[in-house]
Parts: sequence; structure tokens; C-alpha cells
Amino acid sequence: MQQLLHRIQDDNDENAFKEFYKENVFRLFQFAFAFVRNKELSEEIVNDVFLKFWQQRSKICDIKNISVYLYVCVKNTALNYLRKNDSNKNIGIDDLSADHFYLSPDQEQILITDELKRLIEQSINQLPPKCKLIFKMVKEDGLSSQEVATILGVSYKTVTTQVSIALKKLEQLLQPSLKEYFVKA
Amino acid sequence: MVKSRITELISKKLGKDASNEELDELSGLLVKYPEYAYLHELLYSLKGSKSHFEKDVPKEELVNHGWEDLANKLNTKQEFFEENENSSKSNGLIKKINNFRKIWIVAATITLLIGCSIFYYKEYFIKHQLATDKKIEEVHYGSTSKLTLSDGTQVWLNAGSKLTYPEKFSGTKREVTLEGEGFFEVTKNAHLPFLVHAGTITVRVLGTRFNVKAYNEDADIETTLISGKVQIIMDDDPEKEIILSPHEKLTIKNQAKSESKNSANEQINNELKYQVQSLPVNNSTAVAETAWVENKLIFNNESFDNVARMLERRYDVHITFDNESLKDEHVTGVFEKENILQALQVLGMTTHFNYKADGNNIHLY
Repeated sequence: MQQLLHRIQDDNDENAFKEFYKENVFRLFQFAFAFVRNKELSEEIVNDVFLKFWQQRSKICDIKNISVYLYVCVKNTALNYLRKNDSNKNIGIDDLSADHFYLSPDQEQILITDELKRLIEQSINQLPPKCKLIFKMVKEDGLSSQEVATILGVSYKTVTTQVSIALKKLEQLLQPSLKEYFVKA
Repeated sequence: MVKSRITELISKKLGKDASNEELDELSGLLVKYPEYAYLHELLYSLKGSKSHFEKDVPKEELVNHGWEDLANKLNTKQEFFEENENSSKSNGLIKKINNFRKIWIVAATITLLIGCSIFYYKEYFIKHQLATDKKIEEVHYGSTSKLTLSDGTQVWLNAGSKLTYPEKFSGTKREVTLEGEGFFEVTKNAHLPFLVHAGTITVRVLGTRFNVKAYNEDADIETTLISGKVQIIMDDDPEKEIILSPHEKLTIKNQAKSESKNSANEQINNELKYQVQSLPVNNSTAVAETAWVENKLIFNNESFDNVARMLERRYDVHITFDNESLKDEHVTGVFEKENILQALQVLGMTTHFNYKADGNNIHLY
């Protein structure tokens, strides 16, 4: 990642930029969608952010944390758009949508019954949107709890609380089937 | 209380702000509470949104479409800028200067490219050399050791064991060779299978926690799975694959050992070449096979012969059976802080034998 950024900043390397784009665009797209709930619009927002990033590439080295920077840019662009359309609307973290991503256990990696797999998918889907969004950002986007807190503008405590809610939910779900499993064994 | 500590540690690990001490604490707890090891495993197997947007739109499609769109915007913007530049600076002199600058830029780029390629070539060469450098970790009798491999995989080595591993993993798989006993906590990487060569078998995993015991002097090679999934391939019969589920143990006759026995025995050995057992697990007792990671020695109805070898390795002593029939006695015990003499005393309470110790040599009769 650091090497890619060097190539972008120092060599104006478009291939490096392309690689950088492909590595990061999808999670940012999903993040934008949480705000605007529209595929085309999310694509536009994300590309706007990347376009500006490319135009200001000479200043990349001033950015402390590239991931956080990109997420915050996407958030601000999305919020600007929403405000333009409805200036009275106040968007908070509780208004975000999280229906558009799903997480499910990979049967290649873990032994799990179809029944339990289905139960897990279902209960992750039923998590409150805020909780699901935070859990997904920590689990899938490779962000730390601190980074997620900065991006969403909430406290570190809020993030860790939401992660443990998701964890407890899974634990509860696992308990009965685990007992059954250990009795059988 | 312990359980809420485990969930707290797991969520810290997920949030990437667990300290090394906390990670170690978590590994220890997960060995003790296998049901949480399963939760942990499950969390790390969760995926989905990474490859698809709304199940019917693959990520690739979206990303490629997005890039085309952005590339178009970039091109039109750049042309736009260049046109602006040309029209405002239509002065001939400036154009000439621009040409000079272009030549300089080209020259500088070429120099830079040559420099870079020399640098990368060197870098590659050094890395390549390192990649093939084998390292060996040997643990003597009476101690254990823990190491972290270049991919983050953690390995605990029991007394009298040897692990051969590359300084840095390269290529399409991660391979190590084990003599003796090791507990592996393999960092998940679905693209790079992790292979442990031990005795006559190879254990293949993607990311999981398991124990391999393959001492040359022991009659059996054992593989015990704590969580995840492992595949065992026997080197002399590669067609045969055995897949273990969590809390199953595979025992294979050690051929290095059985060849020295007489032919009648060998025949029996061939018939009972391998065996898969479920471990008797309940939440309160630790798993005997991995207890040594926590510096405990647990054996459950094991032959005295086997136990003697475990004691030898743990306490760095040499045990001789003056009375051969003792070897077939079965014993059960848990040792943690006891020294060798205390351990023998405890064993003596249930099994009748005498012992005399002469330095590091112990005679049982």
C-alpha cells in the first residue's frame, strides 16, 4: 500500500492508481451506500472522492491515515449530497442502512451444519443497522475500532460496545448447538 | 467471569487493539475453552460482502465498471487541462522551453527507471535468498519453546522436538518439518495452505489450531484437532486422505518404530494402520493432548511405557524398566508443578512399583 502511494505521488503512476482504486473502492462503495441507498449515486460519490485524490496526489504524504481519510471523504461527500436535496434533514449514525451487506460462515474454512450457518446469517442480518455496520467495518474492512470511531465520529467506547453486542449474539446462538456437539462427542 | 473476559479479548483482537500480552492470554484461554475456540474460528470464517454486492452483483463487475467510469473522467479532465495550457501559453519561446523540459523529463525518467530496476533486482535477489534460508529450532529435554513464523503462525514446541522452517515463506504454500511434538495456531490464509511434515504423514490446513506428536522413539504418530479443519496425507499412500473434525484425534502407527519389531507384530500394525477417535470432552477438563502448552502433563489411562517417555522429555531424565511387566500397566494423572520424584510418588499410589534415582537415571521395579 505504502509503495503504491509512493508511485502515485512521486511517479504519477496511473497503473499504481488503478491498483490502489481496485483495492479500496468496494468497501468505500458499500460505505457510501449505507448513506444514500442508491447504487449509481454511491458509485458517483466514490469516484468523485478518487478523482480528487488523484488531482491532489502531490499532497498524499501529508495524510496520516489513508483509509480513514478516504472513508471520511466518502462520508462528507455523501452527507453533502443528502443535505443538498433536503437541507432540513439531519443524518446521524442511526439513520444509516446496513441491509446491503451480508456475512456468512465460509464452509471451506470451518465445519458447520447448514442449519447453524443459516441461523448465523439470519441473526447477523437482524442486528441493528448501526451494530451491523460497525461489526462489518471492523470484521471485513480491516479497520481498527479506533479508526471506525474516527470515521463515524462516535466514541471509541461506542464502537467496542457495538462489536461486543454482535459477538454476544453469535455466542448465544452457538451455545445450544455447541452443547449438543460436545454431548455427542 | 472467564467467559466475559474471553469475549472481551476477542472483540479487542477484532478491533486490532489487543496487546501482545492480551493475544497470548487469549490463545491460552482458547486452548482451555474449546467452545470459545469455535466461536473465534467462526468469526474469522465470516465473509460475504467482500466478494459481492447484493448477492447478484459480483464485486469484480462493480469495480471494473467503476474504474472505466473514473478513467474516462480522468482522460477528459487531463485533455481539458492540456488544451487550456496550450491556448494560454501559445508563445513560441515558452513552447521551446516546454520542449527542453520535456527532454529533461524523459532523460530523468530513464535514469530513474534504470536506478529502480537495479534496486529492485537487488532487493529481489536478497529476498529470494532469505526465502530459501532454512531455520531450525531445537528444544532440549526438560523445556518447551514458543516461536512465531513469518506469516504470524504460532508454534509451541514440546521438549525434545525440532522444527525446520523457512525464515520467510515463499511460493504457493507454507511448509515446515516437525520432529517431536508441536501445537500449531496457523494464521488463516486460504490461498497459502500450511503443511506440516511429521514422520510419515503430512498435515495440510488453511488456518486452525492443532497438535502433532511424532517422536521417533514413540510407537504412534498422533494428530489432534482443536478447531478448524485439517487434512492428513500419509506419505506412503498419498491417495488416502483423512479429514479430522474438531476434537478428533488421529493415531497412526509409527513405521520407524514398528519396523524394528518382529513380523507378527508388523502384521497387526498393518491392519490397524490408523484410527480416528473423538476426544472425551466436557467443559471442565482441559484437553490432555494440548495440556503441555500450558506446562501441564495430563494422561488418561495411558500405558506406563508411554507415560515414562513423556516424563523423560518433561523432566530430562532417563527411565529404565527393570520390571518389564510394569510397561503395560495403565496410569492416569495430572502434573503441573511437581518434580519428578513427587510425580513418581503420586503414580506409586495407584500403581505398585518401586523406584530408585541415581542422578538423572531412574530405575522402576
